[in-house]
Amino acid sequence: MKNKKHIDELFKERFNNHETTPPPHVWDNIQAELQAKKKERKVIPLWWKLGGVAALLALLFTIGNSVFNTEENSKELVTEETTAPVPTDSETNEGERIYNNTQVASETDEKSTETNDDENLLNQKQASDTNKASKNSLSSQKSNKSAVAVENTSKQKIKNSVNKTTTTSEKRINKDKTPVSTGIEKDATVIASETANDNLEDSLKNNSDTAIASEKSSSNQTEQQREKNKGLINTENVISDLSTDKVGENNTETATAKTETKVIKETDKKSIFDEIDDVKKEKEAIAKTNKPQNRWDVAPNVAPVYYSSLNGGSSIDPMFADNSQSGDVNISYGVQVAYNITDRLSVRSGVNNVNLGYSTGGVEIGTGPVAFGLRTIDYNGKSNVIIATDKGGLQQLNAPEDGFGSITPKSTGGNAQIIQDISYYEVPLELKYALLNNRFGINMIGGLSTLFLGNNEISVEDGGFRSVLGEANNLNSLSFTTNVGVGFDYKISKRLKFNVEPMFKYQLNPYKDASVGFKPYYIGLYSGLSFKF
Amino acid sequence: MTLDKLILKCKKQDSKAQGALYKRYSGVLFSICLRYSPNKTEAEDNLQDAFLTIFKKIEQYKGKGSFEGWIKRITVNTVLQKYRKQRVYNIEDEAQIEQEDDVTVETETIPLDFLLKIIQELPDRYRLVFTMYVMDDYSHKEIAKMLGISDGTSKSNLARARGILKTKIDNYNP
Repeated sequence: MKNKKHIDELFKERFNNHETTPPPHVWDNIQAELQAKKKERKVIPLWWKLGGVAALLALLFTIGNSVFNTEENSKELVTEETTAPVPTDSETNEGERIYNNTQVASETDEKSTETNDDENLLNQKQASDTNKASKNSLSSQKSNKSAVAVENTSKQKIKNSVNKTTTTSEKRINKDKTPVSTGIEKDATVIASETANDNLEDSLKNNSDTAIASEKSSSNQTEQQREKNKGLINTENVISDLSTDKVGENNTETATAKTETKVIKETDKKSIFDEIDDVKKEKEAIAKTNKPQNRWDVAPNVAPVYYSSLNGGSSIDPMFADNSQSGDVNISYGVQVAYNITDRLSVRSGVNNVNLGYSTGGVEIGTGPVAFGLRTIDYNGKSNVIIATDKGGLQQLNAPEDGFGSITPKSTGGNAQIIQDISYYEVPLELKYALLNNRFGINMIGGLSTLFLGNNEISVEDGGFRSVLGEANNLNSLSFTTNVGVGFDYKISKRLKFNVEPMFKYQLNPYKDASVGFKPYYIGLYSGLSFKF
Repeated sequence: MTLDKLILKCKKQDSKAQGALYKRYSGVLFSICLRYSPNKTEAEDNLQDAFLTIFKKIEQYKGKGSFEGWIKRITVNTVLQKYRKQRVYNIEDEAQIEQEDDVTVETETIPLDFLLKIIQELPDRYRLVFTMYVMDDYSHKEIAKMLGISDGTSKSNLARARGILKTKIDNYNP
């Protein structure tokens, strides 16, 4: 053996303390690699974090905006009602005009069919009784006349056409009525008093004209009495209402509108019913156009999910950072509920069970004292455990100076792998915007998910041998992901859609220790059926 | 700068500290790489990989044991990862009985470059075993584990390496 030593000695001596300065390009390469890594490390997560923040802001903004918008919508609806009687407005307006016209028409019809002299006298008496009140109302109405002058002409035209068959004196009455009625339309509280006032006015003006007085029908008489009573009340209201704000007007308007319809019902049933129905339908139609019929979607879904890390690294131990790692394909399933803010934009949430798996290769396995165990694993108080290390690691751990006892190697070929299984309960909050919204739809999806940690388990596997080491103790029980994805859907029917959504979810804070250079994400291909209701 | 401070800064991925660390240890580690690699170019590549691993794993160095020993181990491991997978072609060697031949050589006149050259010329496995055993004081048991071979193979590889080296030294003509 002496001789052997000799050649060994030769090499040992000559290479002892031997140093060779490497060529400078080696350091240049190292520096370049390090900088590239730094950039990767810093830029990508920041980008995703910013992306997440942006998505969150967009989400909050949209929700806020939609809430704000619905308020505006309700306001608009109210103002529509108030402005409805104004001539420039459309359908509802016309409807109301028709009310008035038909009302007048029916009144005049009845008037023409039934005449009673005695009742004329009554009318005249009533007219004088309510004289004061009507004057008050008239004075207030006059102020509105000029403003609604444009309407008067158009109204008169319509009325004229409606009342073609009526006599000239009746036309005159109608003409006399119009300024009053338009005044009423603008100042809705007067609507109920309209007929009363009109009749009063007419009867006052045409006091001497018995022909007109006679046209006041007996059937209208009782109504007129009621109307007059209302008129008295309402004319009082007119003065006070003129000074009150819009909302007040709106309220009183709706109230008076009801009384008006009642009056109309009493005067003529059939034709006015139709009109009311029409108007109701129109209003419903307007309401429908403002709100989609089915705003809610429920979508059970299932997805294969692939778990991986953006920058390698290892969540289990930094010594595995450069080992071969591969994400496992697992399953996520759950149900989502979406609320359609508009036709194109919806906000959705739900709950999903997500199972993620990740394996780290090139691992050696042995059994030994827990002191050699991985510090990220909770071994449940066992003293002798399965130890997994980087390849060659058992050798280092077994160095005699450690004094913890020795490890019995089980697999040193580096073929073993560590498998981490994590399950989360995911609650997403996402926005979905339809880029294409036909039978086939394309959507952009972005948002955040909150992950609640379920089970987690780290195990080792070598060939057929698999053993659970324990739970990872460095996982956050509550973490978040930023989500982006594209959704494709096919509308099978009005209520039923088939969805396929490839989603990318980047985990923001899965691990307690920030030193773990592991930036996991998962990709899922979510598919399912969504039902509208 | 003390070594501790240097290590601390390297843990924070401070590029100046990394440069200083490289300056301090690149000579020693390059020497190791030269011995474990088949040629200078690959030695350079391996040195690069070793340093990248060191900078990456330096967080794990907890100050137990010498730092130089730690980085040497990483370097050896890095190189081993690359060459241990390559199997030695002439398997019958492994069955060979350990050579008991005389392996003494004339030592004085042989330049280091030549010694390095003949090590590099060895088949991968022989080179690794010889270098590990002779110059880095690994035991056959350790070598067997690290290379995934048996103790016997390690021993016979070593003997075979010695034989090849002896022949080349004996034939050395300056």
